[in-house]
Amino acid sequence: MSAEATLSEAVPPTSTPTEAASAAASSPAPSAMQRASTANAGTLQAGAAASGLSVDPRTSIALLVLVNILVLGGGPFILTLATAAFVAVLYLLCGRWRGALKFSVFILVCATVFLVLPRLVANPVTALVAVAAYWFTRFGVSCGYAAFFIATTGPAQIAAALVTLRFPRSVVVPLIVVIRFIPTVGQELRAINDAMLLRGIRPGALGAIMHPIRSSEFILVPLLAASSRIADDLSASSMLRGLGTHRHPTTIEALTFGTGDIFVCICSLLLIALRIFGGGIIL
Amino acid sequence: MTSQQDNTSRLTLGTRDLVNIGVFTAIYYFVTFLGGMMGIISPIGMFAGFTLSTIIGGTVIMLFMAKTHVMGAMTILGLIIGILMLATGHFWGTVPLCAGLGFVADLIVRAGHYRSRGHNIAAYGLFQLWLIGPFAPLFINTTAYYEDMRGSMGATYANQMSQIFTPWVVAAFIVILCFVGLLGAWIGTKLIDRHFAKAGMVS
Repeated sequence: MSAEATLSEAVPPTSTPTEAASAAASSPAPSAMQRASTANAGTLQAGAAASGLSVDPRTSIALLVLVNILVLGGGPFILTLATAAFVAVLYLLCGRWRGALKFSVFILVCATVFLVLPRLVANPVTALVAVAAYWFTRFGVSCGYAAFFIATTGPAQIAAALVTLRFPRSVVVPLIVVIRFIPTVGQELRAINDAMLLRGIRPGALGAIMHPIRSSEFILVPLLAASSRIADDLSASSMLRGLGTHRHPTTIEALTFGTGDIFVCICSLLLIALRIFGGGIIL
Repeated sequence: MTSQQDNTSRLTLGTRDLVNIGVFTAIYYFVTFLGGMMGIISPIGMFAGFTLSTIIGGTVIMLFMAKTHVMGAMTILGLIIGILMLATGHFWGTVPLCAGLGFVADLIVRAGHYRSRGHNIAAYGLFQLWLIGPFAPLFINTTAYYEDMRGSMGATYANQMSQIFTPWVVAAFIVILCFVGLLGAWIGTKLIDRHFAKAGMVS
């Protein structure tokens, strides 16, 4: 039994509703749970049969680091634009038209503002706007690829990649717990919100602004109490399924190096070459 | 099955510790990410958001330290926070920075034998320095960025901009955040006394 299969399966539903949830509204919690699990299954299928290009999760992780280093390191601006073009092509090859459109428009607008605006109207205000646009372009490219990475790589694939790459157990297990638990945090917060509404305490944005310390206490304490309990249940159920053993887990995700990976590698090498030899190019 | 931990600190991380690390990392990351999201409104909103998330995160980390008396817990928490920041498109240097500060926090907590409040509070305040990581690209490689600016807007404006965009404002803010972190951690210990110690959720 593999660690990632153990944890990506739902925990026994008895452990999820909190005190607040059961007091206030027990029905939204299971439905949210079901939604989360179907969404999870959806990403798993999307990962297995990505329309068009399929990239090994290990390649995706390596590319995540590479894009970050290329874009947020000291490379010239043209390297950022070249990386942006590569990320846009990846979006298109995976059939994510809307993502490709949003990403390209954002980067094009920011880059144009940076490159053209100070040349048209030269004054301190446009210079300031241009600097902001410059940083939006750089961070936009790294965040754009990160969004693509999260959208195309499911939790099971990430786990399989990390296990195959021989990451230590003490890193993989908490990381999988985090990925599994972040939706639960949102779910618990919604349940606490409902419970507070029932008791006539106004949470929401207005209440949080009026009484920041009080409302954060009212939200945080039940959240932490519920989470500690869920952590206990989660560790018990995962230990029962063999997480405590020190064997190297196997994985049900088939990891293969295919044409998609070759494409990504060639493009990455071109970008690295641009980083090394294109230092003098200034737009 | 109780949430009572054994009173002696151990040297190895058990499965329960690993799950605990995961759960508290998720909450801490959620809180920090919400704080950072306020930056979408304006940079000032981001400063306010990080201040608030530092205070709230204090309670999360204090409870985490009270529940997990193991060397390496903060290191792994930091490492995973760094990995999550990388996976959401932040600067890669955040990963080693977070893991390093987590290790330092671990050493401080251990020096207090996992029981000393002062040590735990100091460890959290220091750990909050990691928030400088996502801003680090503004600090390093400034010459390369200056070249880009000069290409676009000419030397005079590029000079002006490099004077306005001094990263020391950000650096000073992060140092202030450290002290806010101390305050947040202190509030955290009070909250734990009031709500969790009484209920027997921490030893």
